[in-house]
Amino acid sequence: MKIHLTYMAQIKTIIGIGKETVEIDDSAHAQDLINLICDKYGADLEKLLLDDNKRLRRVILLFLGDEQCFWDDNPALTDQQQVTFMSPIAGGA
Amino acid sequence: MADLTDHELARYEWQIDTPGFGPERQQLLKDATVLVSRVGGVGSVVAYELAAAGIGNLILAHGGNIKPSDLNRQLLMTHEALGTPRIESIEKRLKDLNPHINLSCVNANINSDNAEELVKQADVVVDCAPLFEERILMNKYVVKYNKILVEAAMYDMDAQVTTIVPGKTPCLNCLFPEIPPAWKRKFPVFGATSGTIACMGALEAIKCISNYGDTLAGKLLLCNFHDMEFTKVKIKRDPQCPVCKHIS
Ligand SMILES: [Zn+2]
Repeated sequence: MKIHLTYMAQIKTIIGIGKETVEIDDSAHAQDLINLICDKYGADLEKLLLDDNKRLRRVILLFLGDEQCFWDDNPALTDQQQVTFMSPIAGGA
Repeated sequence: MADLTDHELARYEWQIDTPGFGPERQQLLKDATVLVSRVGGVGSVVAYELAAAGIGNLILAHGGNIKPSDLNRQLLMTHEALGTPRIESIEKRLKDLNPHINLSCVNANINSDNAEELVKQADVVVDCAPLFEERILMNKYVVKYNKILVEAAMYDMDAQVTTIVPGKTPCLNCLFPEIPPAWKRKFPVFGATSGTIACMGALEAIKCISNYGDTLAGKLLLCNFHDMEFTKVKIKRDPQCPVCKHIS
């Protein structure tokens, strides 16, 4: 299935693009998607997104469509879903 | 609280005329106290808009002296005042604009010594700090004293704004339960980006105080100014949040 991704803030800086569409297994959940983009973009992104236990940091905001999603809920994804990842921002002065 | 004077009715006439607003809501602005910290790229424009709108009492907290690199975005600072305390420039520029409002100016950033006292005095806090430590401190006391917190933040060409109402919406600690390890004090910024999100934050404060229109309570407005894309998403309370889980 296809997932439409939007990256914001420092995540976008590391990845270098703000949007992309990825292909993922039909049975994929949010965690599979995070693993996919970490594999695709490497250590700097993984360090920003995941903690030492390879869990999504709680400070990374994850939205499925217009709903916030907590990592622990690990919802199933659906074809053509819009997913947004945003790293925390505080600017500021 | 003193009623609006004839001068004030004339001064704010063009906003009082906004349909559904009227002099009663203008009076609410006059009676209100808003804390803005810091008063830099975002906070300068927030404070300027709130002063222009006739918020009766502004508490402004910002430390340090003006540097050349402030001047692309910190619009209450002036070239002439380089090297002098930022808070003096902030006070002078706001008084020049509107001498009818009360200003309480603090020559320090929000810290653990002043946060509680400053937040306690305000009805609404507009959080414009560049460090999560300062933001989380303000959030803690906003929840403790049941104030409203307008969260305006940006990085590069992205920005966000939301309004936190303790017990009803997520608090900042629900969203960011730890200090984000990768956040850096220095980030790329155009003044027009920080200024745009600042105007949205100021409008949220005005609407919260005057019970006017719909606010962003429980919703986060995500702005991508690079591509001019705007998305409004729903945010969730963290049932485990140590700051706000006990209130409803
Ligand atoms: Zn909370």
